[in-house]
Amino acid sequence: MRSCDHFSMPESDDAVLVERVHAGDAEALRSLYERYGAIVFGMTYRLLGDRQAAEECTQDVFVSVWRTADGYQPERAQVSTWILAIARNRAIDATRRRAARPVDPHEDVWSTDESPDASELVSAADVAERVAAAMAELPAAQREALSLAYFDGLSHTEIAKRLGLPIGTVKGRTRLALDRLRALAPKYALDAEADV
Amino acid sequence: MSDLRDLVAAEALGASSPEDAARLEAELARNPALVGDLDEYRETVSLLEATVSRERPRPDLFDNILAEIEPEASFAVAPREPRRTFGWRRAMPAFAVGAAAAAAVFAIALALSSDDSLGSPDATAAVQGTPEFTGVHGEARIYGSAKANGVLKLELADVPQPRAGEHYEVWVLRPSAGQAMEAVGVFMPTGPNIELQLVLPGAGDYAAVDISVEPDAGPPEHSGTSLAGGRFEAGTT
Repeated sequence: MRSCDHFSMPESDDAVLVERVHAGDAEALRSLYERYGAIVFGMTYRLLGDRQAAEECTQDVFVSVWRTADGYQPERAQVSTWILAIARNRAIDATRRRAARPVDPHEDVWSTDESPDASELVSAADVAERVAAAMAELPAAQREALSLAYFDGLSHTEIAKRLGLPIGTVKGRTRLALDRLRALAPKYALDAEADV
Repeated sequence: MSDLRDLVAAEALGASSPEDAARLEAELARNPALVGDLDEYRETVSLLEATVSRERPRPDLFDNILAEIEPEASFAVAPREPRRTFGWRRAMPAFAVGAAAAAAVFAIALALSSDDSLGSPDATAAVQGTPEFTGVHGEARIYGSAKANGVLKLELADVPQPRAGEHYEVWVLRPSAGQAMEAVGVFMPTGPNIELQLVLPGAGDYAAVDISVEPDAGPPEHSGTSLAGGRFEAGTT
């Protein structure tokens, strides 16, 4: 029997996961989904205003990540930025498609009343993309704590139990996450959006 | 002070316990500066809420994604629920199994490249069983290791069945990535002869290969018990 001295398995970084996705590794896609799926869904849900449409859009986003992973250029953008740009475009496309559906299937007419103002739609999508990108850029531990509070509505006590961490650590991480989001506001041009 | 700011941030986020909320209320009455902090955190949370819904997608959404990409995948992934019994090496690269391989692999594998399509190996290792498994022998070959998605091809003979509750895991040592070995795949043999083809964790020169014996519900680290291993030498042996 032989012992091995230094074994560890660090969390893969995003770019490595994209490489693996490109190689056909669906498990790597799952890892990306677990990291960014909630943010993508949250962003598209807010833009589309409909759960089912947001889920379809989120599905489209990750299928697109799967099919276009070979086109990802790490020197141009972080993986999260790339994914959220796909989400932005998919959400805009989905909104426009919905607006173009026939109002009454028995009438061969197309709705124009509810067509979103294109510039407003793009503007909203841009802001959402930037906020989501700032969220995605948080250090993993802070993003995890913030996500459990934000998306799951857990209290600090519940998060501490879930993660097996001291409650003081959880409080610190969520506060640091919000501090970090404020610090990232200039980078993502969010200062003017809500004086973040 | 950071303790109070923690309370303020939690309140803005809606994550306060009733006790913390009561404590913060008393502090806010005593310390007006905290009110400004609370307003700032609330602005941040408001911007989040205005642009990113607080709701999560339904839990099985990723299953739909998998169903859509499965025909295109080089290999499928193990179902998420129930959780894989041997833990969860979530970053574990996938692996492919030869058509003639007598191995059952946890991550269902399909694609197999022939040696011809892989070209010449960059390095080869004679694999020999450890003293407890002296009968095990075989060869490991590395292909395309100069760039991402290189391949490790592993052929083993006289592999014993692991004991109940155990399986085997393949590791590689890439000095440029550090002194830790990297896991590249797990398998459960259904016969004595094994042929596996695994995606390497990254570009670089590989120094060694190791096949460990792992408990099914064990931690992600190497168990410290090896079935076999070998050191790579450049080219073919």
